[in-house]
Amino acid sequence: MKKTIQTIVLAALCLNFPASAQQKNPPPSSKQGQVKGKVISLKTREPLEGAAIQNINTALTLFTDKHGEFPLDLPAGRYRLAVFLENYQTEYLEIRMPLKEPLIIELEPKDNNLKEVEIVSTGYQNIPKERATGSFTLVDNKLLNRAVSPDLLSRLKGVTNGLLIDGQSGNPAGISIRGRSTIFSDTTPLIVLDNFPYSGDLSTLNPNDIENVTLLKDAAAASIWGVRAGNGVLVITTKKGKLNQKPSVNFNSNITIGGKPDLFYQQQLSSSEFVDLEQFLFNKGAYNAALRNNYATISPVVVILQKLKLNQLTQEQTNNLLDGYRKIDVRDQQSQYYYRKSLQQQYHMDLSGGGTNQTYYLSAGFDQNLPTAVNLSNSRFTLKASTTHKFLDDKLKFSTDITFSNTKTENTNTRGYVPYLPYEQIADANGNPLATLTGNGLRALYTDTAGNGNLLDWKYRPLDELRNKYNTYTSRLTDYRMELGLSYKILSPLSISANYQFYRSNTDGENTYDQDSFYARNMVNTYTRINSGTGEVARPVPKGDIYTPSYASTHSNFGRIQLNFDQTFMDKHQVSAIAGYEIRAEDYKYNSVTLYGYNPETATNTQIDFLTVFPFYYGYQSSAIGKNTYQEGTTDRYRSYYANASYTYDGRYIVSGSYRKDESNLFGVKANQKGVPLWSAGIAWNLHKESFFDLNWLSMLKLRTTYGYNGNVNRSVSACLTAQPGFYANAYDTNFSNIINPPNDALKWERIENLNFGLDFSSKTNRISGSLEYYVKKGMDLIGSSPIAPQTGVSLFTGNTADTKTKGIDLQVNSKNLDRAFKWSSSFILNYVKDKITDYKTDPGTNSNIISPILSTLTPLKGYPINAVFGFKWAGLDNQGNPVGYVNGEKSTDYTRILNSNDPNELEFFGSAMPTVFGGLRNTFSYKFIELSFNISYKLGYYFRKPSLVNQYLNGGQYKLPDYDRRWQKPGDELTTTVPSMIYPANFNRDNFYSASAVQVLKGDQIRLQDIQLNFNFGKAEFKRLPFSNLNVYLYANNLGLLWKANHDGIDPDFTTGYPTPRSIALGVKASF
Amino acid sequence: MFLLCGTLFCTILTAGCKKNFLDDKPSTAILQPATLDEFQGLLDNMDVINTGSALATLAADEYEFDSYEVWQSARTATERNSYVWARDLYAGEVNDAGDWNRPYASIFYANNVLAGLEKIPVNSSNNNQWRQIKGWALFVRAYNYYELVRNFSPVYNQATASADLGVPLRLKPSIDVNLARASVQQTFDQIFTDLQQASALLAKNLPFANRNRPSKIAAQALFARIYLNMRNYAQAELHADSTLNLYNKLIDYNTVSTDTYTPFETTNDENIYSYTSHNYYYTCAGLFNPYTTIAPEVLNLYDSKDLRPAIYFLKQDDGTVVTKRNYFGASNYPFTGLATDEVYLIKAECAARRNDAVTAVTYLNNLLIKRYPTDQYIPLVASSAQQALAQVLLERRKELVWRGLRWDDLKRLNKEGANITLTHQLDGKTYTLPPNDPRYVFPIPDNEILLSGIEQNQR
Repeated sequence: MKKTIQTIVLAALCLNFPASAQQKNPPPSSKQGQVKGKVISLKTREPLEGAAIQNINTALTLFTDKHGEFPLDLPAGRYRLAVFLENYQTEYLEIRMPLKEPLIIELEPKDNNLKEVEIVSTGYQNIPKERATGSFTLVDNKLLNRAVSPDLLSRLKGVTNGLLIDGQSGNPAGISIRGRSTIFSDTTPLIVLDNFPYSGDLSTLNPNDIENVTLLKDAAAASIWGVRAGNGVLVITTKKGKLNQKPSVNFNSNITIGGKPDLFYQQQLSSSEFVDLEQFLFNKGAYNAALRNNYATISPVVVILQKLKLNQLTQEQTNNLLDGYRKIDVRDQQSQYYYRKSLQQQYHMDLSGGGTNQTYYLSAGFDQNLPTAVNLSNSRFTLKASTTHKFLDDKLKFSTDITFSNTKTENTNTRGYVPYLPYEQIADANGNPLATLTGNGLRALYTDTAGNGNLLDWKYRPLDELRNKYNTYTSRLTDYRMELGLSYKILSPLSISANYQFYRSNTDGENTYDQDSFYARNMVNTYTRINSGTGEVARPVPKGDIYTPSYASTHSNFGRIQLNFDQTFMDKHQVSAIAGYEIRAEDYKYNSVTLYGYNPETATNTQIDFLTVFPFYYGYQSSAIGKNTYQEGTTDRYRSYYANASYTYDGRYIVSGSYRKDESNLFGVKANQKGVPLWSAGIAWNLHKESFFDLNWLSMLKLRTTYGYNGNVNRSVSACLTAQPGFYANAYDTNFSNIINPPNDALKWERIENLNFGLDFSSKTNRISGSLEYYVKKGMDLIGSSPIAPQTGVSLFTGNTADTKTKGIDLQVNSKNLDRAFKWSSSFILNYVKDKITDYKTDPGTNSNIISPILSTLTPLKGYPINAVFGFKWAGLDNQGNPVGYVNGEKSTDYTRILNSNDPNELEFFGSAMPTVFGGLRNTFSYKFIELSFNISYKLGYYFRKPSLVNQYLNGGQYKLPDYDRRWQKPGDELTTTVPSMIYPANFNRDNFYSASAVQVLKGDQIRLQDIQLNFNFGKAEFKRLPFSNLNVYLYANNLGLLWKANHDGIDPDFTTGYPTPRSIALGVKASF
Repeated sequence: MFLLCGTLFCTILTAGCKKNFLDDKPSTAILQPATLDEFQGLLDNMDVINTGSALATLAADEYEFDSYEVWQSARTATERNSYVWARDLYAGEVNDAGDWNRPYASIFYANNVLAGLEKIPVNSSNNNQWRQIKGWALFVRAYNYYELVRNFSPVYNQATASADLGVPLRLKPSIDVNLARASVQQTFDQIFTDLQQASALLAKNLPFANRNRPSKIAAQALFARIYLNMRNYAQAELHADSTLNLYNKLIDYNTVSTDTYTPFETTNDENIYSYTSHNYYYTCAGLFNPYTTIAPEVLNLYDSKDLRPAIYFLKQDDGTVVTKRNYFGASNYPFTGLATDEVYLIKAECAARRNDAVTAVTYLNNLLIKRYPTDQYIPLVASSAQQALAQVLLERRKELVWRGLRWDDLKRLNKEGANITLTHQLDGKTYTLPPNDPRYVFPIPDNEILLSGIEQNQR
């Protein structure tokens, strides 16, 4: 038995049901080969080579030869056979020996919309799904390739049962399997690539090289991955060659064009409203302090108002000038100059095949991506080569897998452009760059004349920066992975395997501020000193580029030794077991250095005094130029022991169990707790194999249940006092450190208890098939934090504080609605997740801690979801436009008391911030060679907080705020609006109350048309003159938009700020030779 | 082939069996302090250890707002309320910034260091460093408890000190329990216990290059400052003497530039121990802040020959006056640490208070001769101790301006009958703070009260 180098049905079966068993006890008549069966394609009537014929009673497996034939030497009696072949429907049949007529088995090519999944991979072993007790979701190759994208994750979105990819709703990692299983630890699922955990960047993987993806969802599936499996596991299996397959060449290319983003989507003050606001603030004296000096930024409107005040302008002149600004909206020019239609190109070619003793797969891919922001681009080049060889009568198997990728990312405007004012102009009518202001920068009048010609130009012209690529960052990420696998059949049924993987990734980064960039000029000028007597100019920061090369590298070594046992005793008892030992060492290093006065042509730079505190040219500030080197590194060490066994009786009853112990060098857990044992157990019952099972219409019915534990790793806490070295030296040039973690003797590893019930079914002709699962996950000793009295010296306590309980349902139903010449099939996924904090051992703090409107940290409350959405109870606006809440059941505007209340009854509970019901409905229509499918995804049962008009931000001159026009302005407005009046000075708590009030909470429920795919498949069979064996032309439209949303505020719940991802359309060709 | 196989198996087996495989340090960015150097690294964290409250600067009478509009535009309600001595100082704003939290964070660091030192055996080679670090941690604890008690408790009064509310006294690093407030007497007792020990452990010389680190000089100077504040003038004088016996250098202001915003180096001769206000209330309590102006009443105290105003202050184009960087020599936040000039003034005051006008005036003159142009200083004379005391108190206002000490002096002097009433005018309204008003004690930040339930000060 074997490791997971192979993933395809054929190869895996070949290993699971070793041919050696055959060779050992060859039926006496096989040499003569009189009795033969034949496997042909139902469609083409051609013989099929390499199909696996399994005798279900004995688990013996044979393969068809190139004539599609296989020997059939069985004693008289009834036998049940299963016939497997990739891309064909599995055929179950019963035969009676001796045969009365020749046995011809017709295999139907797979209708790819139905996921006929036979083999799932845990990363340690491949398991026929029939024999699995655990919960797996498999995304097969066809489904993976339905979407067009350069990355893997977006291809899984909306089509994977149990997986939610959503960065908006309360999960920092943006991806979750069966909800959130931890509070403060890493929420990312473990990614396993072929055999080993993958810590690299997922975007470096070429999805065209991926065969399929398996999601491990419950304890029996994931516990084998131990302490890192708490968030579920995503196993990615890459493509391999197949035994006995003619060389085949596949070519795939596509081009995707996307729209420009809608900058007007996010609400903001109109320029006219902002001019009004500035007038209001000016009259209140808000700019008086800033106007005391001659350099701090003030807007052109404030300059005009000051001139009016000093009688340098008349009221009429002032109004005319202000009216000019009212008409300008910077987003028009921003959209014109900073955004474009996106363009993605993808090319991929592979060559694969295999003989009787070896297989190979070679591929090369190139992707180029020009996103909507004009300054961004990236490209990726990937290579992959994998081979397997068998020696010594197939006793020894050796496999290699080498992948290489090179990703180049370029940003030619790293400083970006965030308009400081809504009425800014970045270009004149002829497109010539204009100077604008920056926040916390310098006033126009000051930069006009400062230095009397001894300073560099001090103006900021965003368009110049963009066009001349003054601020660039280029990174080249090169990574390579080499995996060696070896397995040896010691003595049937025992085999031993060893795997080794070497992974290395290097990122070379280059950040350059051109000497003409505003950044460099501003830096030079800020530190320039001009001797008032001699006029001598000193420049502690010299003219020239500011150049920061950086280098990051990760390298890891994994090793694994595993014993495999696989045997069928007395026909009915099948035992499969593995036990292994695994080590992993991973090191990460980063360093960078900043060079000033850099000349790229000579690669020279100027030495700088980094210690002296220099005064700024303007004002009173002073600072040292700042440390210019940075290094950091991490080292991970893991040592693990694991075992997994399953026993199948008569193909009907399955019992499985797994055990794993992880040890690591993580700080913190006391020595005797360095290792944590985790286990699982499961049972399954294939009802359809029972003799009493006589439901004709149901060909498959399986019940299964599992129980066990997974874990989570948290690096941020420790049982010991830990500290972090400060980034800079202190004022006396001495290094120091910060305490980041007070000692916590009682610290334990987080554990997730998992209980899963599953039911798999399939009707006679696969008309309807699917699975229904119910699970309960209990998070125990989860790390949580809560505010703690400051007298302790720390503001947050972090420790094992929380217990959680998550219940959920995963339902998937596939149906063939029409199955004639015109086919219509559907696939429906429904995921339901409901989580709850069952215990929280520390005080969650006040109601304002629980709501945390501005700091979006999580403060869990017992009895409520992990990501609970609360709002302060809302009593409307009073007749002065003040928001009103409740204190002790009475209406109140005492915001401090409202925020500091400990009474949870003063909060209104809405629900979870994470969708509690989500999934998708995919319909596929096909007629002859045309296939059309579309995917509708939905997310229901969740809430979000909409952006608020925050008074203190208004008073600070910010304009990216909503609802300004809806604010209370005069008595009576309280009847028609919920947006409070603007007051001066702002009351922070009034803002906090309003932002966190119930009236700002909206339902997130939505249904969207995710994508449409149109596919033309020209096969050799239908189109005889085709120069290809297969030609596939496809169109794919993505991000098509909302069909329905619950809120009436015009907010797409997936995009509460920024702008919705523009629609895109792709055209592609896939050809096989 | 077989060689490769063998190698593969062996490598995997041996690599993981190495004893120290799991002992590799997981990150360069994390350390578990265990050595003396590492504990020293915690105490060298100036953001925590050498940074404290700003409320006393905000509440005192050293600055003014020149208009209602500018007062209104101050960033936080706490800054506005400080100026009008509002009863509800924070108006519900979260005061995380440091008046209460930062001293307790320092105490937490010190307690961790003290606990860690217990585990390091002392031997002849580490003895000096061990003693220095222990003394340092104790000094930090004492300094910060004083920082807390001076702000959040009534000024020391022997008659009521056992009943007056001090602050929670945390002496262990554990964060498991919240403590109630100790009495003022207990708080001072703890401060003196720590300071006594620190003084015995710390080195006698000034750490020239690292003024964030304490010395025996700093410990004695802190003793003197605290005893003065407690109006125990005899003890204050004793400790002022022992400070000056160890170190008594003064800066000759004739050598200090008036052109620069940074007249003093971080390692200037008078800086005994660096400590500054935190940076949260920067609009009003920072140096160079554009919102406030130094009160004309303060500016009028200096005579025309005095070198100090030109060094301390900067007059802006619109006539407002801001403070330049003072003895810390860096950052934009006021120096509130220990310096020799303060010790001279303590010595002079204590002498005057025990009717020794001659000594008082001698120390005053020793200081002031460095504050006037060479050869132009006319030494003070005092006909009575009373007069000498008045001169000292006047010099305290002039010399120690914007050092966070004025507020404590107001509390102390009013306690003994100075009868100073503070007033501020805004938008036609007059705000006053009568002597010994409960508003001289700052409220404890709300989150402390909410989370630990300790008793709040009544204002």
